[in-house]
Amino acid sequence: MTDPRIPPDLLGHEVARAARAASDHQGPDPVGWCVIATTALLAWLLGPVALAVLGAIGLVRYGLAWRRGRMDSRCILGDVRVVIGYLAVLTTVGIVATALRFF
Amino acid sequence: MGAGRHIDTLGSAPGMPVRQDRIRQYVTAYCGQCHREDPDAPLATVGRLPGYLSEADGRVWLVRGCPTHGRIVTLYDESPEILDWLERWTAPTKHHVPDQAGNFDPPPIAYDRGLGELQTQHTCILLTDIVEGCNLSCPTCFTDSPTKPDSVVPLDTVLANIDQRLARENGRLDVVMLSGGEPTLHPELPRLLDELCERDIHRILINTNGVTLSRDDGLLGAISRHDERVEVYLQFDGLRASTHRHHRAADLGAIKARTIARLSEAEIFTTLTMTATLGVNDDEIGDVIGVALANDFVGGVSIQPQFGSGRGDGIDPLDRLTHTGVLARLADQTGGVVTWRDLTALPCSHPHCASVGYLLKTDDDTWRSLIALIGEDELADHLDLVANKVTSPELARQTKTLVKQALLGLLSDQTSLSHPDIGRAFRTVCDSCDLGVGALAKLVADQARPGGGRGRRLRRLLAERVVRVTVKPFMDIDTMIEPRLLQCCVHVGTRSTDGADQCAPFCAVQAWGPLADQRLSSAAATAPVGQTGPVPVTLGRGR
Repeated sequence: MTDPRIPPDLLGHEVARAARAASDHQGPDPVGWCVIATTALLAWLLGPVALAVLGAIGLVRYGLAWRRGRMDSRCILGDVRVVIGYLAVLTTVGIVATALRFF
Repeated sequence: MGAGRHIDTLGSAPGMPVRQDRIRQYVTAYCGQCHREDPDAPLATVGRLPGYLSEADGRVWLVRGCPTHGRIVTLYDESPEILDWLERWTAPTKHHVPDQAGNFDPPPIAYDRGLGELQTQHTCILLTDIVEGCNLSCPTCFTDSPTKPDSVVPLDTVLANIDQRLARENGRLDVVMLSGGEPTLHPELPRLLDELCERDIHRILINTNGVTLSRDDGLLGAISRHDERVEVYLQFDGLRASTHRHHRAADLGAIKARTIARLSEAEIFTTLTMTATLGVNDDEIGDVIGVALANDFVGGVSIQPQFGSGRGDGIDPLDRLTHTGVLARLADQTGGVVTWRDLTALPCSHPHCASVGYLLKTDDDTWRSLIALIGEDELADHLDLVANKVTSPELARQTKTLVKQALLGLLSDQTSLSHPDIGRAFRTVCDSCDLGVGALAKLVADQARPGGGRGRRLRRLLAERVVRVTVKPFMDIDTMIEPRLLQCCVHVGTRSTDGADQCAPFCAVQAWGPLADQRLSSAAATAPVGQTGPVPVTLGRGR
């Protein structure tokens, strides 16, 4: 009998799969779509503010990752520097659009 | 089709799922179940198991596969974030001389013949067990010392082992720690201290429960005679009576308080060593640090999470106090005076094996850490400097001179402790592996000697204004990994079955019976304690 305090992924593929199956007994968890829908909701409600805030968060996180030595990202843009540039553009667009909307 | 494919990608992808744990490091480890079935099994039969350290559910786990018991998973450390921090701080190790040339056996069988060829660190601390017996009967004693009258190690045996180590360390040892059993029961301890102080040994530590020192003026005087070289490591597990009873089977509060007072009065630098156990006294870490901050000449605190060797079994291998667990508790328990970012890994040892931080009382009577005063980036730069130049004796000498000057400036009455030059003091941590406050004091005193009595004054100033905090997580069979054994610098003096003086890593000696049998106190003890033997102790408050 395996101690339930041990994370399932440390116990091999079969145990991890069984644990996932137990939690996903209604089928796979399409959590990604929930994330996307929530992001769309924020964008709809906040408009350019959401773009500025989320872009800035991404910019900071990628900046930290770069400082810690990360060179590549799973993002389609690949190189972390390119991703940083992309996020910088998004953030700038968000800030400008926010300014135009509210001021 | 496209939409369906996207749904699959976001839900359950075809092919194998991604692991949710993150493998940090591949290691060789050992099976706790095999070990518990036969802790005294011949070393040649101990299985070396492939395994890895893995991060899952916010903790770090040691996973390995045993041919008999299958997959073995135990808790290794409580905080991956703090472990990342510790792994930043590394420095080059020093060469060693193997006890037997050509010994390429792997751990632990290698240690049957002392340090092997593939050890990667020299002896920073030589721990010498000089007495087998003890005047307490601690339920968590890692050496399983008996309380009955037992034997002491003859002086010439102790010295022969230390001299052998000195010879293999190119004539100089950083630290010799006298332990046991209870080393203050050795009838010739004062003479042993005299002998050791005639040798090139930077520091001599006495690892004691403090019972004898609470009342033996003669022994206190013998230590005091060598107070520039000799320091006391005093077991001090907390303030609650229940803590004392759990670890020591008696309420020793009054005895500990009396011992600390006597040592401070005698101006002997003392480090409080706390055995910390989850659910017993893991909430008293801050209190013990508080005792160190409040008492002059208590120059340090060494917090040691309980490990499961000797009588210290019964630890839950899946839920226990760990190195990073101690560090994580510091901020809350000290009101923010010390946080885990105030300690770094001891740079020359394996980064998982020890962390150290210096607290300094500034001119406005507040305690601040060295790292907070100078900034972590600058500290890292200092380490790089030392790391790159440590191979040059001339540059190492210059660095030492700089340290002395920095300390003198630091401790002059005119200079604030917040001066950035204080950072130079940290360099000696690399240079001297286990630098204590007493050693800092000696450094200052040596420099100040031409000026007469200034050394003692500076020594007192240092005693009042510097405290070192270390966390020392020893390994038991549930946390033992080979990389740490190979980089271990805390070695226990041992004697092989054919009488050769040698040594072996501390954690290996405590874990494996055949190595424990090679400790000097086990292998070479012949003389009975006799009239000096186990001191009758009145335990409890109000003595």
